[in-house]
Amino acid sequence: MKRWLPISIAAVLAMGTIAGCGDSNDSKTNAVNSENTNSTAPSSEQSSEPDSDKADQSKKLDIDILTISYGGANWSNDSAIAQFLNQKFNVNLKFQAISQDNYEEKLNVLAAAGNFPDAFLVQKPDYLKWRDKGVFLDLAPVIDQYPNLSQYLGGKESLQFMNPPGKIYGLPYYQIETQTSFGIRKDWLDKLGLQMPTTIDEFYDVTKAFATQDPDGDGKADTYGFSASLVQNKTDFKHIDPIKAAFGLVNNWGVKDGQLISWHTQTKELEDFATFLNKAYKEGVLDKDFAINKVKDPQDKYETAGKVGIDDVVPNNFYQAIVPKLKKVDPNAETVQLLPPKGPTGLQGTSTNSITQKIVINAKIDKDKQDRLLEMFNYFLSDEGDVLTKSGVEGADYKKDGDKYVKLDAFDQDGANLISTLLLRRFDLHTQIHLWDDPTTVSNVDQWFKNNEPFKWADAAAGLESPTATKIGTTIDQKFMATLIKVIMGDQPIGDIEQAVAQWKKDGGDQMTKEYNDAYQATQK
Amino acid sequence: MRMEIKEEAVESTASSSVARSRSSSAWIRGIPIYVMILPGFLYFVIFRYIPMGGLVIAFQEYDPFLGFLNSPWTGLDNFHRLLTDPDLGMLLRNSLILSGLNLILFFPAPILLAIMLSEVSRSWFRKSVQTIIYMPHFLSWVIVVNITVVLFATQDGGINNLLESLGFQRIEFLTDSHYFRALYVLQNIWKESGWSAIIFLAALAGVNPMLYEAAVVDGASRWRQVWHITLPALKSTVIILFILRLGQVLDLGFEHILLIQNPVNLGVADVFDTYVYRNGVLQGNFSYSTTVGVFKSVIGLVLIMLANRLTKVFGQEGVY
Repeated sequence: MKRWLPISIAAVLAMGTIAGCGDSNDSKTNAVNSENTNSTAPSSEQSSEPDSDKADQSKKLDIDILTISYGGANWSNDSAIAQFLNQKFNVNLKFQAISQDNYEEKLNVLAAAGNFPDAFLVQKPDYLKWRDKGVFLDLAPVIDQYPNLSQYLGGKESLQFMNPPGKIYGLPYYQIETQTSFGIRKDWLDKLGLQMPTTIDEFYDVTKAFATQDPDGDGKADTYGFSASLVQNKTDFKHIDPIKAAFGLVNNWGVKDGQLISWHTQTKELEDFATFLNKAYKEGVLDKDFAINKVKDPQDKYETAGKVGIDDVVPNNFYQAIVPKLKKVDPNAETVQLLPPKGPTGLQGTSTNSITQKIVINAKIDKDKQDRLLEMFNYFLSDEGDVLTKSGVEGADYKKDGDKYVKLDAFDQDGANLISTLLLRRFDLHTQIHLWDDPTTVSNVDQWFKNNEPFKWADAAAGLESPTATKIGTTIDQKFMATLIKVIMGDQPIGDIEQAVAQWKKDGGDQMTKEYNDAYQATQK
Repeated sequence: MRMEIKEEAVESTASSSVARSRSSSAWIRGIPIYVMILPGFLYFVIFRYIPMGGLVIAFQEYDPFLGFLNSPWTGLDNFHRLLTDPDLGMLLRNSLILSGLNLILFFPAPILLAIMLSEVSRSWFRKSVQTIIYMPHFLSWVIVVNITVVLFATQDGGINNLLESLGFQRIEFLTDSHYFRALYVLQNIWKESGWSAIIFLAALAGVNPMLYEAAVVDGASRWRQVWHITLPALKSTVIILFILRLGQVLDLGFEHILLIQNPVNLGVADVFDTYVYRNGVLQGNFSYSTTVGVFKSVIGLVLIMLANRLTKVFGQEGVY
């Protein structure tokens, strides 16, 4: 039945080409246009500065925005915030968020059809792949006209990150570097009379006790220690970064003796790590389904089933979603932060994000639309926009009650904070703190971040690029991962890791290492 | 096209030669039929033949932002890469094994089902069973696969919970690659055999009851009746469907396989279609994955030609 696949790809491509031919001309003229206007426009705009963003909003524009969804509410066009924005900017805003499991697929299909949305979020591999193809609008010439973009997005250096000199093809999507830490069921610890684990061995003992000593007291052996999943393109684990770090693995790429090394080549560390997980798997401590879990399954299992002892949590999300949901399953549930356990050599590290996701504007759309989008983005980052995108519209999403704010039901139903959580926000630790949040919660959240800060475990190659990695990196990483998972599940002996490392190097890993190192040395000078 | 026919018709009537006017009146009488054929004809041209032009990207280093008029040509580089790709053997092996299993196990299932149903004498029972077993056909693969996960997951799956409560070991149905092929074929059978049985039941409904009565008079047992009456009655239907099925021998249900794939069973579950999807759609290697697609089509074509030849050797009529 599925002979359609190659044919339909071909069909899509054929259409893409037809569209592509037209578009490539357009983009040229567009580029010329924008250069022209850029050379003249700034002066005229700056002279009439206060009103410049109201300049020409006479035409109603359709604006499509696409980004990643991490679950939760969907954008609703009837929501107060949607209507407010539509009116304020005279647009018809279509804001679509797609599950992280399918996002890459969606973007690549759109790419094949030459049919990108007006503005969208791009992850690092795709950003590097398309950056120099003229599909993203270069913001460098216009960035000064939008003061909030340069002020609240980490400054020039952050805007320049992952871009060729003098070009800015996208705005950074802010993530708190060390936002994620392990949370542990304090009530289970207390019930079994256990101490908070500080080393990886204690971590194992505790999680094993969770799996075998019936911490929820229902008389059934249905609990387990911790869960895990794979990142969406199946090239790495998710939810167990502190364990990787404890065994001395680097976060994707790390620096050793002044050289970048990949975690795929750390044979000794990989063997220790795999041995640990293999034991956990065999003894029922690790979720038996970790290899088929969807990215977010471990968190869902933690909060909706109440059978897992440890989960990695983002504190904002923790107070707003995990705690209330878990309370429904088990009213006694109490989760506290667990600092990264120390490895055999005393190493510690927590899950650490690099700010490599970018929001880009389509270079091939009308200049009117591009300007309108930039005005909107500039507004989202203003003081007023910051409140609006985090807390919604006063009167609809929240109301003022004396000197306090109260959240209304519409806020959660409409996803009034989606622009801030999924698209664009200030570089500010309080990404998800709303007007009405209790100061204790706010300081608790801050405390989680602060506790985590010393255990930063950064990817040393986050902003670097390697043509080989862009081309075949995913494929060889997936192969490597398949072996590692099989070793953990006991389908293959531990010795196979050595072969997988050698294979990875041979299939292109050595070339990637060389390219990343060249790029790295260039930044060190 | 319709215009052309008309013009030709007008022209030929004008020439008034008897033989030609006879043939032109045949053309004119045929017009309604041609018009009826037209949508189907256009469908094949627009959706089947024109897109084949896109196959040129197999010979290019295709860049969607340049289009296929401007993408650089690379000759047979992609084919060379494919033939030296260590994954090729695995893809071919998996595709052939799964197709073989489909032919050997999945194809006969509806026939057996139809025979068993036709042997049921209580019609209310037969009819309700029939209705129930063809329901799954209307479920999408997403639902079927998710039901499977809920039932067979190792940690919380219903079957495994049951096994454990009965004192057995949990079985890694989904993450042990040895179970993959069985799972794949069983899901196919569960979902489609009820529906596919309909056509065989229809064939059986056409059997003259007198044949059975005569057999009973002659002292034939139930088994003998099935062997000498029911099976021969199904023979021609089975052969036609078998040949049609061979035409899609490498089409293993892309969506289905993709959904049950995971990093652990990829070694036995990766087939051409899913490989094309991962490399082409997810990673944007459009040219290379088109090359893989072309290769798959060539293999499919060879298989169909072989099967067709084979049916003719056995004295049956082929598909062409």
